[in-house]
Formats: sequence, structure tokens, C-alpha cells
Amino acid sequence: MQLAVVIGKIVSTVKHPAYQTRKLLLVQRLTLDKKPFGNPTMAVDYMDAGEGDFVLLGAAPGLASTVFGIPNAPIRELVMGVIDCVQFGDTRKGFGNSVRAQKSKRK
Amino acid sequence: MDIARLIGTIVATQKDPALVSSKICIIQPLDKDLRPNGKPLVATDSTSQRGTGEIVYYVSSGDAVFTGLQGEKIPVDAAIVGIVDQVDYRKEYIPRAK
Repeated sequence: MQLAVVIGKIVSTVKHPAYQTRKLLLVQRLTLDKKPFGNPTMAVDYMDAGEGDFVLLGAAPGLASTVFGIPNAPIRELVMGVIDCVQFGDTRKGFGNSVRAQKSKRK
Repeated sequence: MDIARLIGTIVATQKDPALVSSKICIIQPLDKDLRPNGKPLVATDSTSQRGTGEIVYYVSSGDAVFTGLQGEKIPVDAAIVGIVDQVDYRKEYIPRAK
């Protein structure tokens, strides 16, 4: 599981049957310091995430088969959760989608 | 899943029996602005509808083996699973590195 932010969406008509009726998002992986790393990748939405949301990204073979109940789904990246808030025990600043996290960002 | 552009096709007569009837092509991985990024690789096509120059998305390693007809397993390392119509993204959603 990794931290990521949704930066956009992808439209596709011709696709593998396992992708039918699923929303495709463009996500950018983040480090714990909210810094982007790596290349943006495509992920299948499972949690109704939208653009600009911080999300949990699951990336493993066979993960989507378990979640969607389709045998042998060729899906690697999956949005597994929407992050409300990331908090640290030390002095590092947290972040997230919730109102509280956005308020602390404004200060 | 990553985005790539299809830049060529490969014809192979002698191949694993499980790969018979699957199309083999060369793809160039792209970044979010659809610029080439990284080395080209060889992938099979599970959609069977590709044309050269098209932008596609592919799965690699462990997931690519499930892309045979009717979900059967085939010995491949990368497989195209769809064709991209449109990519939309906004730069302001990417947090700035401090």
C-alpha cells in the first residue's frame, strides 16, 4: 500500500473485460513528506475517489481478483481507500482530505 | 498499469503453443504528458484491436499472465489491456516538492 494523489482521469472504450464499468484514474505516488516520486500511473477506482484526493494505492498481482471477485483480473493498481488525515508523532506536519487537515494547512 | 504508445509489431512463427493467436507488439512507455519515458518493450495484445501509433495501457509481470482468451494463463511479461481515448489531468493537484 502506498500514498498517492489523484491528479486526473483516463477515458478508454476498448478494454479488457475485467475493466468494464470501472472508473480509471491517473494517480501520482507520494512520499510521507507529500513529495511526488516516480511516474504517474493509472489505477482502477474502488472507493469513489475524485481528482485532488489523497488515496491509498494498493499495487499487487491478484489484489483486484480478491476485491472484485473476478477470477484472474489483470489489474495492478487499485485505489483501496481515501485518506482523511495523515498524522505524525513528531514535529512533521500532517496532511489529508478532511476539513481539520485543510484548516491546519491554512495556518 | 502504465500508459504507452504502440510503435511496432512483431511476427513470430515459432512460439509457445499458449501464445498462438495472440498478437505481439512493441510499445514505448509514456509519461503523463505523453512523452516517451524509458525503454521500449515487447507486449502481447489482449484487446486484439490495436493499430500502430495508438496510445494504450498495459500491465506488467504478475498480472500479465491472466490476459489470455477467457482468462486463461499465458507466459507473457507485459500485456496491453486497453486503448486510451483521452487523458485528463491537472497540474495543480500534484503537491509541489519543497
